[in-house]
Amino acid sequence: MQFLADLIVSGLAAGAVYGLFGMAYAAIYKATGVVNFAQGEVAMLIVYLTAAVFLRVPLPFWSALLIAPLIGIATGLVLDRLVIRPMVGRPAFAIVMVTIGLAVMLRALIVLVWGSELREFPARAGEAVLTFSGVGLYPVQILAFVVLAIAIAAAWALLRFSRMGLAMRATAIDERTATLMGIDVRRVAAIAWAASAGVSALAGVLFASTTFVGPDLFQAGLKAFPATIVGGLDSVIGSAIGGLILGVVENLTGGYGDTALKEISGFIAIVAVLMIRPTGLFGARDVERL
Amino acid sequence: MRRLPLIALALSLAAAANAQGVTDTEIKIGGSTALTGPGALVGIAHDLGEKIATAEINAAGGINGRKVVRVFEDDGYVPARTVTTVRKLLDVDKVLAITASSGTASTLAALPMMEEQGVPALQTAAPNTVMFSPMHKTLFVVGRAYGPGTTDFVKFLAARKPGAKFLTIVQDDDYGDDVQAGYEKAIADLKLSTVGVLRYKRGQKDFAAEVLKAKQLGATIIVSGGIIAENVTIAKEARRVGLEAEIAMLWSGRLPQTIDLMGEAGNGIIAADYVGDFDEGPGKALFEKARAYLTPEELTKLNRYSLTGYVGARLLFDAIGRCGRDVTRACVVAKLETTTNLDMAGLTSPISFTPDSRISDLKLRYTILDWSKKAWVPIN
Amino acid sequence: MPASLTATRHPTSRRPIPLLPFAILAAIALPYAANAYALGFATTIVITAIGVVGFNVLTGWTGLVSLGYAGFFAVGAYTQGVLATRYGWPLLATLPAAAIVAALVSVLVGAPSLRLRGLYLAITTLAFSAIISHVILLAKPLTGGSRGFSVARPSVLGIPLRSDAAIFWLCAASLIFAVWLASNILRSYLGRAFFAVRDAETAARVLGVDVIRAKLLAFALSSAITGFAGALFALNQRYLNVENFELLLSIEAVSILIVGGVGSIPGVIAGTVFMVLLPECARLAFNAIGGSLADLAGAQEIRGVMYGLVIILFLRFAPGGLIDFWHSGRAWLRRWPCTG
Repeated sequence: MQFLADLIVSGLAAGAVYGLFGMAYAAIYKATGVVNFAQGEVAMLIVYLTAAVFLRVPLPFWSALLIAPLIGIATGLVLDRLVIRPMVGRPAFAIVMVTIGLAVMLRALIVLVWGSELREFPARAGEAVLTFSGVGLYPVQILAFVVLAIAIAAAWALLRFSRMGLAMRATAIDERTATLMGIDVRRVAAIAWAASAGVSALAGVLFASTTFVGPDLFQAGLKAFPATIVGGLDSVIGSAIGGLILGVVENLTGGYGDTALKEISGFIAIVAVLMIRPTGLFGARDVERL
Repeated sequence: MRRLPLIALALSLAAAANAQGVTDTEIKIGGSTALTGPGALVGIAHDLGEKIATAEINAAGGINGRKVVRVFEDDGYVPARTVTTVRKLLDVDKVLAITASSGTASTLAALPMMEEQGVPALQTAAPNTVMFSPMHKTLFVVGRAYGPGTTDFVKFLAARKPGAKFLTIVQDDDYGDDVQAGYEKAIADLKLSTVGVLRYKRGQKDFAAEVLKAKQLGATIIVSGGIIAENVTIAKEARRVGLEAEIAMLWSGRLPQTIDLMGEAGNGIIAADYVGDFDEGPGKALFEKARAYLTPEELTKLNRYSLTGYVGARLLFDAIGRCGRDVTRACVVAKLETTTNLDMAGLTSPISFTPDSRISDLKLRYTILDWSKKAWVPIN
Repeated sequence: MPASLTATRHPTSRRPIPLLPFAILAAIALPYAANAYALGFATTIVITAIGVVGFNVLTGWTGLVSLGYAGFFAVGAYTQGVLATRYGWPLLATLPAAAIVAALVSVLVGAPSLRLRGLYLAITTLAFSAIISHVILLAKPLTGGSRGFSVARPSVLGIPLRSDAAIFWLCAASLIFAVWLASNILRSYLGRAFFAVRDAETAARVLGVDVIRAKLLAFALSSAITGFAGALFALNQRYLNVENFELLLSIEAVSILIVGGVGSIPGVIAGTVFMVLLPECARLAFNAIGGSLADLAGAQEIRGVMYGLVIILFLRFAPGGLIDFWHSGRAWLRRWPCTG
């Protein structure tokens, strides 16, 4: 039926953004064993910075998909160097607390610097509604699918074939042994942070383009968190798929069930997965990492 | 407790002397709202509205020879913080009256304190039914409550489009409860056709499911009970999924920013409100007057909440004025509750209260968003 | 691998008791000396300190990382509110009830989480805290849903607890009691069992420590104290709304532990004073500096920036917390002038 198709496609569109955030969570966890609770906030910061650029220099929308990740990579490297690297060797939960502190700080800082009004993302992807067999989508949403697909392909290739990917997987399995084998663990972490921020930048820009640039953009990151738990914290591609699943489940719950339950379905998913299969659908590692 | 007699003595002494917030030359009033943070759009505008009213009355010599002094605190729309700021206004600044206490939850949180001290308080930004029903002796709500306002609105929409199938999307909290109650009353009163009441969680961003459900159920008029962002998203989603229904929204989001954010998707949206705008009629006259009192930057921040703030302040000044030189909190409350048809020069309908009513029940006017003019245009 | 946040510290309990007479005198004198605004702050500090003393038992001593503080605090607050306002229970019944209900709820959270450690435990407790929030919203007839409800101030043994001063004294007395209770747990077998679970769970099991019982007791005791603090919060605020119990509250609790020094009771007090007063000091400083900073002075966001910065800086530069400064400082003073 049209209704079902509409719900599923809308869910996939929202899920594409969740999936990108999920990949970002997984990238950092995979390389460092840390959950970056500031994922959404970092993405929000990058969106505001990107928007500032586009307010001064009118450029076409697709360039935002290049500029934002660049800003993201730079931000990721800076954060790693300033905040994370000094904490190397400390227990993983201490580093997680640092990311929580970062999140709280960024949320507040952005309001203090840019105010709290809602604005449109300065570069528009077009207002035309494109229909595919009765289902309508804005161009941004189609771009979201494309970006996710490219990200998944790139992640798979990098992790499977490149030396850095191999180094990441080794570090994830056992940090100490990886170091003994000559892998620069700190560099692996830095690259993970940079890549993660780059991917979240894309997620952030896509999300802001479908909604607004505002001080609550970080919520997209929070909402995407169940995606990576369901998909598996240490599985980058699994998290991407987890995001798509989450988006569809949310919309189906809203469409066929009670719309008020839509938002909580994510939390229920987390609790259910953690109780039954803590490593997620596609994860493989031992839960008692700490 | 041995402190009670001491407190009682102190209070009666204070009452015997010049009342709280009143000296021979000054009247001090206070308020707390969101001057920073997500609610700042509303709070700053409200503050500016009061600023205009205060400057106006002081330019005319004050109230019975006393100048009005305002103290405004920032509570970021957080109820716990409102309790702190109101406590400060009452115990440290010792104000005569409180003109603002943010939203519903904040006001209710600070209410025990305000009632204990018999402080006259106004609520002009968020006219929620819970604040006057049951009635609180010292809290006066100016506006049309969300519930009854929705009832009026739905009846107006039904008259305009007979045979329509109604659906409403409401927030899952006390605000949404109020809107839903009003909606259901109108449906019952006129035996209208309703296809659904959909509730969404506060802060929700994704309305695809709601809008798709509305389309599935065949709704032709959607009463959108969002605040600001939600209505914009609903309008945009409606356009995306090809939902051919009229969208109607309440006054909370009737701001200049909303027009920009909605873009083309907003064309044809109907809004109800009990205040006008700064770009036409009496609002325009007030805007010209305000040039003398506000900076150019402040002028850009004015919106409908400035008008509600202005009107509230004028109401309070009128009541204080009718107390003559003997201004006390009790007198102000007594004068407020006997306000009858106070004329607001067309900005709103005349304001009245009675000893048994704490809501002013202002009349609604209806506008439609004209995208080509980027403005809310009055309907008939 | 130990799940402790920072270095393994076994706090000794030499400190609290000699300060007791001073603390009691200060508590009695405060409402007379301070204005209502300052008294409000003092009461907030005391209530928060009680809550975090409880939190410390779970996370500081037993090493069970929890982000569910807000949830247990809320359970205590709403239990007090509902029983006192809707059923008219007296204070002497509602306060213990709040503690007991919070303890029971925490066991419900803890029991299925026994296998989880560290990060996954934190996420699970976080999710449970969110679920508790939703349950509060759903139980509208009892809790007033999203609107919240007004809490009555009941009487103690026939004496009405009307004034803010009375509330403050009740809270101060409760803090002293909570510290005494915690100190006793610290020195008992249970306390040592907690540390054993934190530092070397497998070894503890081998040595015959009933790890499951210890963990569940940690949850229960910790939440009982935190729930009690929540009840006092309800009495003080007089209005309960779910917004009061959001994630930021749990983060605040963890921050206090980090700032004060994980595992140390005096650290909890020091950390609480620090974290509650810091945003207020920032506000005063901004107002004094003036200019565009003064506009931001009242911003809620200042609080967020302060919390975040404090967490990051303390974890990076002072993982032992304020208590560590205190000990190092005293040691330095003792050696002075022969420091070198």
